[in-house]
Amino acid sequence: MARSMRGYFLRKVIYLGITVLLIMTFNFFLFRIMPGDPIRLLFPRGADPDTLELWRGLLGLDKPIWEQYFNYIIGTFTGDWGISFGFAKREPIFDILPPFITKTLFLSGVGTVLAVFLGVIYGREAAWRKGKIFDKVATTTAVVLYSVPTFLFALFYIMIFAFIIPTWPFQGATSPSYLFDSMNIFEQIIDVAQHAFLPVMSLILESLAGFALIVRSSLIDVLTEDYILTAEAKGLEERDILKKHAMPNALLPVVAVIALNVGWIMGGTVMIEYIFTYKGLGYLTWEAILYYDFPLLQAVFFLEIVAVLAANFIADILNFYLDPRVKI
Amino acid sequence: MVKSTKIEQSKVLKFLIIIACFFLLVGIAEAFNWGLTTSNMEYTGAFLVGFAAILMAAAFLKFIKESASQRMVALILLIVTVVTVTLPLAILGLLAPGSVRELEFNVVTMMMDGIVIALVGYVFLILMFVSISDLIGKSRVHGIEKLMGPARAEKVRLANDRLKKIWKQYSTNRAGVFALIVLIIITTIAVIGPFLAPEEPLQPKIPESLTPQPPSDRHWFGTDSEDKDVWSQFLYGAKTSLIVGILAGLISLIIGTVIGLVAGYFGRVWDEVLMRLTDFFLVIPWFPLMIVLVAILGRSLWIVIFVIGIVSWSPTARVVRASVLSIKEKMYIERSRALGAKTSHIIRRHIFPNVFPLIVATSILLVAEAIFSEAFLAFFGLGDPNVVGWGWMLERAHDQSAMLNLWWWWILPPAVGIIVLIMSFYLVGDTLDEILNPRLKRR
Repeated sequence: MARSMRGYFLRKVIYLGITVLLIMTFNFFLFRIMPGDPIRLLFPRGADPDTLELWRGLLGLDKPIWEQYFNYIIGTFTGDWGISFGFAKREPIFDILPPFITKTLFLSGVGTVLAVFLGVIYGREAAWRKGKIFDKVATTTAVVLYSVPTFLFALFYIMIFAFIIPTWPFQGATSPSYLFDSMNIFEQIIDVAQHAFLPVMSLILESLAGFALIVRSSLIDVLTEDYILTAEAKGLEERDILKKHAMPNALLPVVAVIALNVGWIMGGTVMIEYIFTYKGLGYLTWEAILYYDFPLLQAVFFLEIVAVLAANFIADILNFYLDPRVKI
Repeated sequence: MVKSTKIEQSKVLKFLIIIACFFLLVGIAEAFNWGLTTSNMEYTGAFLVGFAAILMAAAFLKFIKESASQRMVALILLIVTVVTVTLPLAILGLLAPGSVRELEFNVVTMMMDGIVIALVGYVFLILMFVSISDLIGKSRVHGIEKLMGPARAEKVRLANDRLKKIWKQYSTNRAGVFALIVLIIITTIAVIGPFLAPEEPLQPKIPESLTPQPPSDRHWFGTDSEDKDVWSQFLYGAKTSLIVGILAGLISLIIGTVIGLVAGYFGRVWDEVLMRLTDFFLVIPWFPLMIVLVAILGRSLWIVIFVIGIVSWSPTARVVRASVLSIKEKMYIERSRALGAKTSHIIRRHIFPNVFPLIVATSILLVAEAIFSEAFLAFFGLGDPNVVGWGWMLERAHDQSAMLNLWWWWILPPAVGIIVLIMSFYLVGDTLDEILNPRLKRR
């Protein structure tokens, strides 16, 4: 087992490496086909040509394309991600990213954990009452929710909250007064929670239905297995059978689905952060596009892909440990 | 096979009705703007129908077995079509005011219309063909046999039986049937919607009031902040969602199928390389990638369609590959190879037909995703600003903070439209998947 595990691990790491390299190549050339001279974006019209040339040299844009490519690869690993062209002019991108990353991690982390938790319960209860009216209503609701584009959840929430609680904050991650230390710690927590509430709720609804439907169908399959019948014949409590015998096996496919969903959630944060002006990576994507800030866009895009890759990798490893049937 | 000796009247009637329907559809398409941009389109009719007619002729000649008299029939039919439909429309088109000026502007739209009409024409061609064979032969099967030869006729009959069986299974699924009806309704809205719309959404208009008005007798769905009719925009929007969804789904379907077939059939290096590529597209988060691509390539409808197609093919490739891998090992493939069949023949005749049902179901799910993607791009201001769509409507509403102002009549129609359309595509795809993909059948 130990040796085969190492082989499995090694192959996954090699594939991961190839994919990362592919993505970096893709990323590099994608932003080189963008029309126009990037240096022009840094300076106003009629800037001194010598200054332009100087900056071109400083940024390495006068070098041949393969050397730029090489530098880009090296720079990505050493933390030299270039400077921002528009969003935060001439500041190193590596330094402006952290606050955005933490916000997105917070949002998507809380959203995913809650969505998985609620989705599993939802799917479990639906599967347990298979064929009954509860299951029918629940499944129909899940299918409808599954078809709703993420940004529409956000819009509906805004509409509902604007109608019921007009004072509810819709913009940003904190109130302006938060920054001036005029709040004590409780007020700060409440403030952050209030601002995060709607974005997190949108994220939950976005992926809840998908999880629920998968848990349901997987659990229905498991419940027809012979060992469940055995457990029933032994006279165990029905809920105990569900929770202790059926659920652990039914949850296996969910692990893989969560990993695949990280890409989906990334897309969701891009939409939700834009609508709620929640300043995370998704918001930064839009700002970078708005300013034609291609080094920033490149960096954000790279981070988003790496997050998805990492999640998939972790899921593969987890799946390996959880499910002995995984082929080596 | 029952052979009756005389041509039944009902068959003549059916033939006439089908022909009439075809002309009616062409007429509707021409008169009421199949084009995506809302400009005067009459003159394009000539080119479009010409295009469709050429396609029809090609298909016809392919169908008919090698016999001089049969080919003559096909040629005469083609000439009749050209003379009765294309020429009058061409003359009308030339006489229409402003046609020369708008001609070059609309080349792309024309091509789009041509494709749509050619597709419709193809379906009608087959229906017409069956009717003609009814007329010429004494019975349907006999007629087809006469025109195509016995082997082909048997194939048509089998396909017919299979379709009937699938429909029988499909019609037992209530959700699937419901979704299909909804889809037919939305398609109808897309075709005749622009004709029903009280005003053209993109036409400049002097606003009477700058605050949106709630629904009234004059404006069924109220007005937006430029005093334009929301109901008209809604009607125009259905077409955009449908066409973008179907075309983008088609693009990703073609890419996915080709890559899956090649990777699965040829294996080895092909498989490694193509599957790494597929994995790459599978892990890349779609939405950021689409944003980046559209932002770089530009914001036209064609680029949106292309980008959605390019981004979303990877799941199809995987499904097709897996299925090819299992079909490839079947005995009849080996026998066929032993008999000297070439690779292209095996793929075309044995592998592809077996993968096809799978592709049909997948493609419908792809359309649902493409519609979502289109709405998403349009909502975030990356769609074509000159194409009225449901995402486009939502973008404008959001821009004017319609949510905070509770102008629900402006938001609900496009939102509900998108949700219902996506849902019905999901349901139809899911139902078909269950029927065509026995592996997924419920216990």
